[in-house]
Amino acid sequence: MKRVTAFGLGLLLLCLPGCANAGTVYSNYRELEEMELILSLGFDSVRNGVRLSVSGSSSGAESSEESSGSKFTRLTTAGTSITSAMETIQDFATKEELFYAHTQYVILGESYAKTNLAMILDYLQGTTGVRTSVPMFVVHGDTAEHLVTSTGERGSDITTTLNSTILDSRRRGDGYPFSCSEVIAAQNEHGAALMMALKVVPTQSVEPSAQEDAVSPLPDGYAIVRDDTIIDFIPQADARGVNLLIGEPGLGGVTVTDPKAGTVTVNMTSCTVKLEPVWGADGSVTGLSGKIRAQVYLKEVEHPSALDKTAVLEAVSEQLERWVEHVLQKMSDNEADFLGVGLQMRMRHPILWDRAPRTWEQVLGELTFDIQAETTIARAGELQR
Amino acid sequence: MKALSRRQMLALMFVAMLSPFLRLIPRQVALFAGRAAWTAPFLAFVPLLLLAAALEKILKAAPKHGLGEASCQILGGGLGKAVLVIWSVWLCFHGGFILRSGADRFIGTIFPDSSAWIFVGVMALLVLIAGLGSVKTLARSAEIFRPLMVVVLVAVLLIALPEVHWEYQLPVMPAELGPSALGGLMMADTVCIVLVLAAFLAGYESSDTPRLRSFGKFLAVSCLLAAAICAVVVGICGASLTTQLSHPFFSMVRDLTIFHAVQRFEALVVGLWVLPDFVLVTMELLIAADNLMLVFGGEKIEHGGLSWRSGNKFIWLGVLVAVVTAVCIARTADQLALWAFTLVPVVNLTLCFGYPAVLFAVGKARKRI
Repeated sequence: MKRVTAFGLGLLLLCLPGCANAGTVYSNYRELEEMELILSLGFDSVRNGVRLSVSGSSSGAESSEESSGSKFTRLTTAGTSITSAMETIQDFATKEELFYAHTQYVILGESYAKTNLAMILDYLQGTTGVRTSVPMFVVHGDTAEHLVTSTGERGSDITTTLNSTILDSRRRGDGYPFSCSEVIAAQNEHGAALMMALKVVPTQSVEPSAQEDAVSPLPDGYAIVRDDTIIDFIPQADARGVNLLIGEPGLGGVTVTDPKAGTVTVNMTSCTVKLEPVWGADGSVTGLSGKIRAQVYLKEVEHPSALDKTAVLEAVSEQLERWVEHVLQKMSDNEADFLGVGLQMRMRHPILWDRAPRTWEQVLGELTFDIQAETTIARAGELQR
Repeated sequence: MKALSRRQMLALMFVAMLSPFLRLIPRQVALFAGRAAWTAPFLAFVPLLLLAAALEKILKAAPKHGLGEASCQILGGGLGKAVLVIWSVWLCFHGGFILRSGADRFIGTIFPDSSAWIFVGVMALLVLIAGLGSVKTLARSAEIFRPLMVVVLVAVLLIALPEVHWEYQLPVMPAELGPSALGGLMMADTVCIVLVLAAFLAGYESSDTPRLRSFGKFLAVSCLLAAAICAVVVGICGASLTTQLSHPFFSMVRDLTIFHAVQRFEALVVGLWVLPDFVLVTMELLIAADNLMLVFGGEKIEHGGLSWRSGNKFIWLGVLVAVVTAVCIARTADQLALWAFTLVPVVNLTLCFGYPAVLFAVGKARKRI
């Protein structure tokens, strides 16, 4: 009887290999060499459907013959739906299967994001093929197709370029790549969300030897999303205000103009922003007051002999205040709490908040802001000024 | 018959509990409790502790035996046996439901191009082989599975912790505790079945430690784990999205990345879900067979391989009923969802809380406990 049992268990092993095409548990099994790893997806609106642009990398014997690095694939096609576009694009792939499971970025053309954001979010949430923690971008004033198919040359593509762009952006503190799931959750929980915006710039503008049609993505602020559509943009000039408010200030430079010292640049070492509600006579919220505490060090001074540190620090504080106030004003003007400020306030003052006669959504468009910044020098650096 | 230690019994209970646990938590809890989902498990602690205490009292009607024998002692031969048959039918049906929902979850999350029936068939065969063996062997398996499950769950929760938005679920105001209590019912549904199954298996256990003390600790750990899962998932996805997703815990695991290097390891996590399903279904079929042996006679032949002689035929019968249930229970996703989120929890809660309450009352009235 034990032999019969062992034989039966051994028969079960037949279910494991991928010999049969259907009915086995290994219906998902694929050889790595037969897959094209798609790393970036782009979506644009076309009449009666969507244009899908993909960029991926493949490795194998053929690529080592052609170049020293990995070979990049850039494909674009249109379809009546995302699924049909994916099926169509598969026909043009050189490998057996385009594999989307390791997609790193999702890029949306501006017109597509304004009209079909609900569809793409629903698709990404419902499919197991793409993670929803991938960052999502909107191309401001251009198409995703242009960015995905024209970025990169000599061993780079949109994915490698965006890797660098995002790292630099986060280090500077003027960009944060919100993911698909963050956009969905933010809209559900506090009614609005942000998506990092990119603009398309000819690569020749910074690298004259680049190909004529090559482009590069640069950070271009944030898109404000509400009700699954883009309602406004936060310009790149104020993008650092968003990063300060979400606790990602970065270590970038802040440049101010002093009447005596000229152009002065300081680098931030740390920066915290704390917001508190301002209560009106009736118990409703009438505004927000904020305290910014920043620590910096002097990086560059045009006229060192005329340097007045107090004046420079005041100018830096004013700049930080402007960034934060501009972002909060955008929030109020659009009546879109894209950073969840209301939820954070409620967490700190739950009883007063719930008792307020007017809700946060009702007062959002009428808020006033009073932001005060205090900037100190963290360290002297190499030069004692 | 080799006795189970308390440690083995608790391992068996913990691994079996994870089957309904990972199916219902946090989605069903968030459906009722919303952003206060993380409080719901704590509200379920006291009712579950009372259930454990009631079962311990009931078991005194038949010392060194399980709930089956205690039922016959309290209710009398005829009624007691009839109730045991009802329990056996329910346990086989529930086992079949677990086979089907587990297979459905597998193909919905990892193998979308596959068929559910191969998973049902393979699991049924494994359960049959395990069911024809001893409870002690199953408990030893659970002892091996438990640390594996705990490490994976804790690791996943720790990796996901930095992504949590605390403002999505804090603070919890008194008005939210009412809906949270309803969410606690879902928590109670996942744990009450293993308390009752443990009571049925009490005859196999040999331990000097008072049961209530051990089970109290077990319940505390379970509630803490459930609260942590609710807090992390709702903190990342928000309460609204958590209820929209079919498998929010799986969706969260799918999105995790370790040091930007390791990603898409959700298949490994989902693979581990098979172990609790296996343990739970085997427990249920073993208990169903024990109950039928009490009613109709027969003895289990533990080292008889695939024999269907004597008491072993009830294991075969239980597996057959479970497979037929798995195949016939639902034809559409909506039907399966109805069973999974409404009918099975309602019947489970009614039986697991109602039956001990009735036994307790009758036992007290007849002075058997």
